[in-house]
Amino acid sequence: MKVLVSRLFFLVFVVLGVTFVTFIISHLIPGDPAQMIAGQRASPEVYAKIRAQLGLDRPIWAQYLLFLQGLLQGDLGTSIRTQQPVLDDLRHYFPATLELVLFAFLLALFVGIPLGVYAAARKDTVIDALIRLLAVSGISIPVFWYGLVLILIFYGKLDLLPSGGRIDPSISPPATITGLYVIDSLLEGNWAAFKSSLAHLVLPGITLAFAQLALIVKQTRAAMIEVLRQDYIRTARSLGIPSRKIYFRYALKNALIPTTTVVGLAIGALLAGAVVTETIFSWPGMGKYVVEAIGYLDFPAIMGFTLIVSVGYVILNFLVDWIYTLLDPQIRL
Amino acid sequence: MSRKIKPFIFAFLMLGSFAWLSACGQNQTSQTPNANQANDQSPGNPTLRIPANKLIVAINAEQATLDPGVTMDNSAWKITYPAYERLVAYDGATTEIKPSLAKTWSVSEDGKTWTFQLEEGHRFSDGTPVDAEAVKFSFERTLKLGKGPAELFGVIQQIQVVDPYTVQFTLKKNFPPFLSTLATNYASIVNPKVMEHEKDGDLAQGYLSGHTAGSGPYMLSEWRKGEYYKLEKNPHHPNRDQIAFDTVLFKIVPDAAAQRLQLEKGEIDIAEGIPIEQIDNLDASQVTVVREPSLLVDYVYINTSRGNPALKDVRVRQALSYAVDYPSIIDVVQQGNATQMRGPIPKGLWGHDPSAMQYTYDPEKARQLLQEAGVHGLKLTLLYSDNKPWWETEAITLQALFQAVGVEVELKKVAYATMREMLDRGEFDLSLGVWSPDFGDPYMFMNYWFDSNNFGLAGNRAFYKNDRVNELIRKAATINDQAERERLYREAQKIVIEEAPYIYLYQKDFVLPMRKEIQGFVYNPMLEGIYNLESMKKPN
Repeated sequence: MKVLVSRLFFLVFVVLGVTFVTFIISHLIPGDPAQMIAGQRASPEVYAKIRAQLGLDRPIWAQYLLFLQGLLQGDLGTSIRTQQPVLDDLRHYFPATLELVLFAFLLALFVGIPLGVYAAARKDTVIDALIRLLAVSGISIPVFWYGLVLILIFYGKLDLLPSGGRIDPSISPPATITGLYVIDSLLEGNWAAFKSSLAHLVLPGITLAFAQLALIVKQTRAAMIEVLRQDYIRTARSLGIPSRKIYFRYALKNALIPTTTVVGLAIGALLAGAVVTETIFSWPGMGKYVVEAIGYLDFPAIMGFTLIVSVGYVILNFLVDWIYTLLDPQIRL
Repeated sequence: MSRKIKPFIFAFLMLGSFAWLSACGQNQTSQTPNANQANDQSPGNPTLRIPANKLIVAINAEQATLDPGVTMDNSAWKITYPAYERLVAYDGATTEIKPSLAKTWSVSEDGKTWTFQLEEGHRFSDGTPVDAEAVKFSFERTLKLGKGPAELFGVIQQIQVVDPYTVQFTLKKNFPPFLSTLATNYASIVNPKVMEHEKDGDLAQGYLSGHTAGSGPYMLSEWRKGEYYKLEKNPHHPNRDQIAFDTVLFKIVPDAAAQRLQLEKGEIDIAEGIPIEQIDNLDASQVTVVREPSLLVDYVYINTSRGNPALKDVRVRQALSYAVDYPSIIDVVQQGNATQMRGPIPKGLWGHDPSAMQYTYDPEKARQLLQEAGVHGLKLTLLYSDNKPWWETEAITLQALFQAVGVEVELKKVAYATMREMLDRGEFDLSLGVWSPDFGDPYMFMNYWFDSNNFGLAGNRAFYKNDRVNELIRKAATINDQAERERLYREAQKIVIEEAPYIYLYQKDFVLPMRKEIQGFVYNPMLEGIYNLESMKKPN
């Protein structure tokens, strides 16, 4: 309980700090959303009126206080660009990004860890070399390149998968329950929507996952090799315990602690990396929304995005810490 | 098989399951009961995928707001323009005006009173008839909103409903281009019923940012955010039965390579986002490219009164104009997709003078003119920003060309906002610039660029003053006889070409790749990026 309270305090503090820094930076870059609204040739009067409407004529600190006041009331303001409440916009774009990130995350985790374990078990064999090659490629090849190559192969040549979007335009998306199409369509029993949305998820998911998958493979492999050298493993082997049990029951648990750190960071990296993947695959997520908001200097939208991401990060950090305690009883929160 | 291999197998089973999913992706559409509609999207169908009653256009990005009283961004107009009607319209591919909602109109002797007779039978998409009240409401709303579009109608003093189908505008002064402003997206007539959606006195801005409420041939029926805009026929439009496309989809595909692939495979009909350098590599058996001069001009401001004193000498300015290798600039900077300007008024706009004098690349003459002016070792600054992606290349090319005639140019790249401030104050010698007209009238070029009352950002960015030019263009802005106005503008053009306060570089071409089977697309330079959806079609 005490931990929870201190964590909550920490969350508020970090989020406040992040909003403050973002607010100051976004207001200090030269440029002015009023000018974007007023257009090229607006007269000074029209321009001044728009500035006043947006509250930009007030001093920065007053604008920041106004933002905080809205925040306390759960109001993130109205987007300058879309004229919609920022909360509504984010509520719309966030689930798409979340779905993509979660999918990529699960992929990285459930393909990455077994591959890492296997590479460690067959250290210095051809298969190990191949897996390491895969890991190195994942880390060093830029996302946009293999994203395009995947489209070229699976859409362009083989005609197996769609090239972009979240669901086929001729299929209605499922009613919003979680906002994740794959899960919602499953809950709804809408088989056509399920297959379409899952098929749309495959290429962007693989693209986004690849780099993090590679990191997880590398990390798991290294940690496993370290653990497999230890005495208790040798003891286990001498007792005739099956290899599978040794790897997954005894060795992996100890090897997972450093991997957990990488995995925690991976989610953050996936959220950030989603911008590029979303662009390549026309994925209607938050990344594209915020890039456009930045181009327009749409302060409320930028602040709203920052807020969500920073809250997400803090919660993830907390989760990672908690998982440590499960893996290693010596660690306490 | 060794047990050690199991985790490996597990990983590959995961991958294998994706292969299965891929197969689902392939089969999904043929299993859908609504096969006819779904099949057009199905990958793997080698024949025409999109049916003849549907058009799919790939666009690069989501639009900000769709409110015609707010948006200044012409990329949003491709959605709003077909959804609304205006009192008048641009005629075909020209900048001439033809009737639209108004069947006839008249203007008073002094040019201050315009009276429009509306044609009956036009209805908004909810069935409400379009009447004089709606016209009055739309303009008053835009003026009350006070955003960018209001600027254009600042000249309106009041709007009167004479009878249900007659509306009268009283202007503060005679303003001949007024009629032409009524054909723009800003002048769209909005259904007064939108006020039912007003929130906190926003005049329904929130609602109209994501909906349309007009009487145009189409209406926005669905906006799946981040994915597409779907237009469907306005069920009350008088010509609804002659329109070929039942639905038009503006699909957001931000990546250029994906757009190209989809266009060549026939999954989209038109691709807006293919960069100019890739256009020539498109599969010519599937795709045709529309290439027309646009009204976006790229030119150089020469600061004639507040910059380097040498620039006051007309010979120095002419020398700079002769020092430019126009064909090379067009090749290097725009990959050949541009047309050299002939004076300030671009080709495609009425008032353009096809016989006007055009500077050619003549470095010898440039050196000679500089010598006559007694200028040696001239050093100038060239201002630009990253507002236009091609400016960097253009600035460097110009620097080299000027260097060749003995003029030293220092490149000054600043932030766009800073550039605008420096332009307004006249703190530069030379600067790159672009200009495109808000309405189809040479006023947009001549009066903005050359009237000495418009120094700075307002338009006269060369800080150029010539009394005869002032007289000619001001007169042209107060009479309503188009032929006479054209004559006055031509005379003024002769002077401003001769005196060279700007280097008239080029008008950018409008380049648009589309599937070969698309018919009836008409490019109007005032409606760049806007489709004449109601008269386009595809063969069955």
